[in-house]
Amino acid sequence: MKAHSSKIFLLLMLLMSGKVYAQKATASLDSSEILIGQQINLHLQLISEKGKTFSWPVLPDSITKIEILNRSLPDTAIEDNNLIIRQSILITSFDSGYYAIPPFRFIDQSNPDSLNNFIETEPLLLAVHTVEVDTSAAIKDIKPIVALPLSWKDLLPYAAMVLGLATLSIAGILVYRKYKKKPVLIERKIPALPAHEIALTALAALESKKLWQQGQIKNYYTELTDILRNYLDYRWQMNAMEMTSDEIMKYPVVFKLDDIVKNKLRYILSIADLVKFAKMVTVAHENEQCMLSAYDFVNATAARILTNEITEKKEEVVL
Amino acid sequence: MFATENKTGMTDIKEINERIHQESAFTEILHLEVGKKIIGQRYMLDRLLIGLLANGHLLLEGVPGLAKTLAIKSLASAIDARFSRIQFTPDLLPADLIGTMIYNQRKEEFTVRKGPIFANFILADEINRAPAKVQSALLEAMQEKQVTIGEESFHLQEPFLVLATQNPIEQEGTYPLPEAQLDRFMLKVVIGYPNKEEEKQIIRQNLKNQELTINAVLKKDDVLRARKSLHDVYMDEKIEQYILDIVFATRNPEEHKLGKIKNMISYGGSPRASISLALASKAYAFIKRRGYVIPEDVRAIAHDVLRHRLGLTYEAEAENITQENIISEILNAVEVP
Repeated sequence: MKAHSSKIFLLLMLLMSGKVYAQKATASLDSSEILIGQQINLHLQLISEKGKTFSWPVLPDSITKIEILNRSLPDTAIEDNNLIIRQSILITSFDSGYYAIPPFRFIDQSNPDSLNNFIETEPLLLAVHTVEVDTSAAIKDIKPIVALPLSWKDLLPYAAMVLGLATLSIAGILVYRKYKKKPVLIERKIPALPAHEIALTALAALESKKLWQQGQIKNYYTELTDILRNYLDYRWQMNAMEMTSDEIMKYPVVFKLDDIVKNKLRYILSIADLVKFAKMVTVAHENEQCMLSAYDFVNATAARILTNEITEKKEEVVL
Repeated sequence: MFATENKTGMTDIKEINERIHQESAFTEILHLEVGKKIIGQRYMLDRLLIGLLANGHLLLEGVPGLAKTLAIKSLASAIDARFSRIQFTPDLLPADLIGTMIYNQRKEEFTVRKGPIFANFILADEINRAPAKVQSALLEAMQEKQVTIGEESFHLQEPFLVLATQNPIEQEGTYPLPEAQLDRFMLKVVIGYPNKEEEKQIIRQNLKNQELTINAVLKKDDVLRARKSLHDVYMDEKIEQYILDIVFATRNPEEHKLGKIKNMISYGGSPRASISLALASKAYAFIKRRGYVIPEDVRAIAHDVLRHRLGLTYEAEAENITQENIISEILNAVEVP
């Protein structure tokens, strides 16, 4: 019974001692041996009672010939009311040999004046081996630089740049096309009155001038053809003032007219060309006939197109 | 219908018209004779006749194989005239063209050896392949109608027609004619490919085992007489004004509602353009067998007279606007009398 009681006491003492020494600092390596230049992690861990504050050891850039490449941010966790802080340090060495990593000291900030106010990790030993060289084999060339595989992250800035430039170019072209106006070489005047009314009024005015009766035959035909050309211009927007007689007769709208109407226009234009360019002197009957033909042409085409337009509209309604 | 004005002392156009109608009949015969060998290309043949009648020279532009040589050779044969073909190359010398002085050892004196330019019809093939000094020698001869070899001047035979060709492709290593020299050509004719039907006829004609010969249907004197008759073709003041309006529109387009093409033209037609347009219009009326010029004649020939006399700006070139576009715009803007 006595022996049993002593065992229980010893266990309680052990448990109590665990509580008493809850602060603990550990340092460990992924591997105690590396090849020259190989990278491994050194793990630091501090277990302390919750509420206690320890200063974290300040790590230099290198420890003897061991170089510190990267430090992770300290990671904190609470387990069994203890605060656990972990940090991983990426290390390497470029010299072969055996290197001691001295203990890392964590100073208790709650009791800075005490001599035993710190806890330390165990020292570590790292063996750095060089690559074994087979001296009996032929000398080999240096290995080429290993290209890292390209990731989307690497390509993203370039892709964004290309996309941006393409967007800008397309936008530029669209804006240019939108605002670039084809030069309008001739600005057309839109008459206030219907074309046939203007023409009929002008023909009446020409008649009243009695030009050919006064011997001004060339002027008479010049004005007569100008009236008809203006009429054609306003009626069908066909630049008739800048067309020759032949071009007018071949113009699709005129060409499709009824032969009787078309021949009246041809008659006037051919007589007028002879008078204007070949000094022909017409007789009174021809002058009167040309005037009548001009009236007929204007009346026929004005009425004819209106009828056609009405018929076309009716056909559209039926459809 | 023709109540002419001869009673009042004015030119009798009816009589001129009838005379021209008769005298120009040879143009149809020429067309028929040359047409034995040349299928299609009526446009080119008409322009050749215009050059011949109006005493002008032609610059012909077209890809190889369009019967340029054959056309002028056939025309020369039909007129019983001397034909000469000169292939312009970078190493050609003016003496190769106009002739040179040869030392005669027996007589112990220099004698003149006339060059190929001493012919009625000259085909200057690929004129832009020869250097400027050779081009100048030809153009001077065209202008002066005479050449000087040593110390002696020689008149060139009449009719004298130069047909210079330029290839629009392969411009590497060529010597483009300067604008001032281009102006000396009355017409610049751009010829295209024949249509399918014409080309079918060309194949058939070439596959026949039959040598076609062109007969001389005209004499050189007939051409010279026709040239004189050309001056009688009546051109009304209205037509003269129309020609001036067109040429002035190339210089000051803004005065003819064409302000927007002002920046497209670096230089317009010269007074020589007006002269050429008037002469070519008369010749066109003549080959259409008419004794008077109508606006259609001017328009028909305007492109050929003006296309090499208009300078385009960089702006026009950037916009892909050609001389053809500019001339068409001008013709569409200038009022027809």
